[in-house]
Amino acid sequence: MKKKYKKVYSLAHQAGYRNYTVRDLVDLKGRKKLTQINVITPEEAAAAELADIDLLITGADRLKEIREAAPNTFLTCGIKYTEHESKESIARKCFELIELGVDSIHTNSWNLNFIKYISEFNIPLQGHVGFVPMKSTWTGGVKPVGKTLKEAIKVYEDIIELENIGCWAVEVECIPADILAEISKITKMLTISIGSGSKSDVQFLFAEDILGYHNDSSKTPRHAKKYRNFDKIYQDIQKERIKAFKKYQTDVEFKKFPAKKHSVLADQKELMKFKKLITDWNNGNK
Amino acid sequence: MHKKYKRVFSINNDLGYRNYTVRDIIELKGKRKLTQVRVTTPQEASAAEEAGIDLLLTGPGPEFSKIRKAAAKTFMTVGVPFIQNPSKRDATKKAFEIIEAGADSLMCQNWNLDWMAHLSKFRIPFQSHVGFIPRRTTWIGGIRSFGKTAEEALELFKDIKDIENTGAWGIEVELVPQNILAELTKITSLVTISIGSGNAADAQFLFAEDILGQSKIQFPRHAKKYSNFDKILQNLQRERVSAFKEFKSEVKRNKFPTKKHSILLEKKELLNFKKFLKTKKASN
Repeated sequence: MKKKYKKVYSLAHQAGYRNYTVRDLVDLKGRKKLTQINVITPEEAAAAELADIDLLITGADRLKEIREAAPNTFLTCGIKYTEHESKESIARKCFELIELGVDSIHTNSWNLNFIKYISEFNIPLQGHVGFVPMKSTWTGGVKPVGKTLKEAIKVYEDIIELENIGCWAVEVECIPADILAEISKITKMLTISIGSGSKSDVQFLFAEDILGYHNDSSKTPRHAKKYRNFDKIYQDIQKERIKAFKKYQTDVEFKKFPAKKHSVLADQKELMKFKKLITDWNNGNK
Repeated sequence: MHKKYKRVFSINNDLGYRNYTVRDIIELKGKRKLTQVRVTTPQEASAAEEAGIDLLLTGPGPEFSKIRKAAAKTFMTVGVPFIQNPSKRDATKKAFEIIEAGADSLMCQNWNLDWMAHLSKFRIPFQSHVGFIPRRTTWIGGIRSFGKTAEEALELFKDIKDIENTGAWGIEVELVPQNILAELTKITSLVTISIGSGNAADAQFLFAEDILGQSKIQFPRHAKKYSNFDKILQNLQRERVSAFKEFKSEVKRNKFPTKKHSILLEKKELLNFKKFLKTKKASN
């Protein structure tokens, strides 16, 4: 199925093409299951657009390159709450990201008053509930949230709060599949599942989990699926780099590189003249 | 040949290991041909160190500290762009910052000679650049070799002498006739580093991206490809696309996520939650 991009104005009033507007996504709730991927490099972003992934999410660090690499895919960008001590500061950051071409902002762990304030500008917002890594000390560490009625009610209330503020979507992380199935039915927001089963409007994964590579020591989470082994592929590529550099080192050592075809020569006549000029220069300097 | 690293103090006073000190490099002039590679990523840097490349060159960008860590034991020179440092004081300040980040030497490309001499007063090792210098090509009429006539060669000689007098240890010589650089190498105390200037220099220099075959621009005539990374990276990108397509197709056909990727709930808890939702609905 060939995706048709539609002509749109971005939030920064730039004319361009996108796979969806926010309105399209809201209208698709309950009709079509969508995919979202977190990308951190332009290569991942470009690959995701080519693979017709519906939604992308990324951080602010490499936003410009990532937007350029996937210019036609609905792109959400996260803002870390610890970098903005006031709603004015967070608004300024939102405006900056919007100018770089984002279609929506992810409000991971923000103060609810800040979310309300940004919503007043009609900026499309995606929230986050359930297991929220930066807030997980409140839910008892790295573990599912919502297995008891009390916890499930809290997730429900968090979602209703975001809905009332006007968020268009909510990432729901590591809650029981059955709970999300119920909640998806009653909220107007699109639910985005990661580790919360298949009954959501959108399925979300990290590109690094799909590709199977990890910086640092983190491992593929239980709820993710590895579709490739990029750790191994990167190791092989690094071996190829080492091999190429070794060949170069040996070539230089054994005078195989550079060869004549890599060099230029001065005419014999000019060379002799140059040697004489140097001799004169040396004599003049004595 | 296994490279032996020696214990050193870096110029920012960090104790560590290096393949060479600047003194070693100067003493090897005329005795042993060295290699230098310009790297732009930590992967290239660590591969170069593992391959036993003698000298590395890189830029001062945000990647530098990662590159230094990736090749912690190789003599590393870092470019200090003059255009972002509009005074001797600014350039010196930037040089100090790069030294603090772990550089063994600086590349003073296009620098004012006076600034280089100033840097020398701090005993900071640096190399410079003559011949074809990309930013200065408007003075020589565009992209071409430099030094084919005796007059141009003399000009080169004088440039090298000037740089020698500032206290540099090395000089990159770009696109100069091989036989001219052979003469220059004999008469300068600087370690000459050839790129496109033939094989008679003290060190041979290439860009990692040319060695690997992933040049973004037209491949230079003087470089040699030792691998085909353009192709390798294209294949890698194809793998990314196909992995993402598989993910999408599995989500669409409800094959992912499955039970083993999900958290299950006791029937009792689910019924309680449904009851709660019903009372909510009734109260609205």
